[in-house]
Amino acid sequence: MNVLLATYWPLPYTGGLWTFITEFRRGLKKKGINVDILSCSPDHSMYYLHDSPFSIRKTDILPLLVEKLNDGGLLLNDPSVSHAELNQYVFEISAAYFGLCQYDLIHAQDPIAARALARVKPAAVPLMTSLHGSLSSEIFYKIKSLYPAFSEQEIYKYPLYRYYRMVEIEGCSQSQIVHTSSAWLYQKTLSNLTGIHSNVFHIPYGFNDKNFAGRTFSFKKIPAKPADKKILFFSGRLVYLKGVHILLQALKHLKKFRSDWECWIAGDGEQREELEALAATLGISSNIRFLGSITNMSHYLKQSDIFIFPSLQDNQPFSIIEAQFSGLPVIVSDAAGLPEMVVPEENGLIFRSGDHEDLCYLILRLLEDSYLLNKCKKNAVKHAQLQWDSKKMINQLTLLYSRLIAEKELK
Amino acid sequence: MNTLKVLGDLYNSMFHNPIETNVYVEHQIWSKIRANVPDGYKIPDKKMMDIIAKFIEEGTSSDLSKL
Repeated sequence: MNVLLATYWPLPYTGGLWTFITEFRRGLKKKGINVDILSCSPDHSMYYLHDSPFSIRKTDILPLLVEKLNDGGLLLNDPSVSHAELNQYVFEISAAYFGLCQYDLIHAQDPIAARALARVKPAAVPLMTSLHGSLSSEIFYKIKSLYPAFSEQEIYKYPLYRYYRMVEIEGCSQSQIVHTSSAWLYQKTLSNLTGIHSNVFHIPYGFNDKNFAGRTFSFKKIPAKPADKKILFFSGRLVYLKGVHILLQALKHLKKFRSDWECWIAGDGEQREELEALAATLGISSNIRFLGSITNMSHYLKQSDIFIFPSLQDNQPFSIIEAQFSGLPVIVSDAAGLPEMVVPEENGLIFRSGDHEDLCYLILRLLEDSYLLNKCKKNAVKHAQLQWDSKKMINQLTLLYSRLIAEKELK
Repeated sequence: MNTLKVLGDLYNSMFHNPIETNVYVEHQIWSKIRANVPDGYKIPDKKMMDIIAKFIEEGTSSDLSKL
């Protein structure tokens, strides 16, 4: 069987999509399934088939599209929507260039790719889509961060928000099967597709901790853990959506009660300077280390005591799964798919999303209650092994492949 | 590899309401694209464009260049 895993986004990338694809491809290959990966290149200049000589530069496609669409007056009087729509055409034309009839099945990894591939694939080739997050929710928080005064209703009416919501619905409704990893996204997808689509499946992510432990890409020096301090750890993009500003507010309160801690913040993003300035304003700079992007995550996690994930919206972040496999108690917000990942008082704690005082209280609880801290540490790996079973995920997803292939053959 | 540039208008069949242009493109690339897209494939996606046009009329313009 020849399968194409395809995404509109750049890969390799330090985010969860690459973790999923790497693990999933390994599992598929073990089952004798041939896998190609189509994505944008990390420098955004081209689309390419990984581990092959095949690529196409965006500059080979864009000039003609811009000329034909802009001068033809077909693009709309909204720069952001026009830009997004134009880039979708570049992706679909690139996919067509590589030739999609060579595949038995196409597995899109985001709704933009799904919508695009549905337009250019041969009708007989089935399309399955895995949703790794909620595109429209991400755009919601992006708009919120740029225009804090906007009410929810104003954002819901914003053209770019409505555009991505339509792309989500269109991408899913064009797919024969839609897969989500969290129950939250499963429910959200079902409600988006009411009356259109019934083939939505909830299969949690799987993770291979053996591959993770051995995955060291760089020898970047790890800061020494101060002997008398606990390390609180966050890893993720430094963007508004991830709620790092809430973590910093919580840590300001925490400092009033205890100073035997440091917080290490791994990751980079457009909000980094703003967050560094916020830490200074809050008077906690000496307790915070902004580490930038790191690749040897397991080494940092081994030095840490508590993993904190304050996101305003997230599906099922691999950074939390990695922390659990590293034996760390996890504190997450109750937003979106996050509370599904933690059993409160057993392997971590859950705070009210956006409530920095609640977060501060839970960090204090873990720091002051050594019985609870040790219990959560002890349970973390056990829970992770049960919850994030790689073999189970691969088996369940390949069963869906078999179903699509069987349906194709019946036709 | 020798490349042959041709006028982009050669691929007008892939566009709704094609207009004449002076843009030259790689023949080898665009011919392969045209051969691989399904019958009836057109840019832009009319169905989506009609939906978008409607809600842009109703809302404010979104110029979020950072996105």
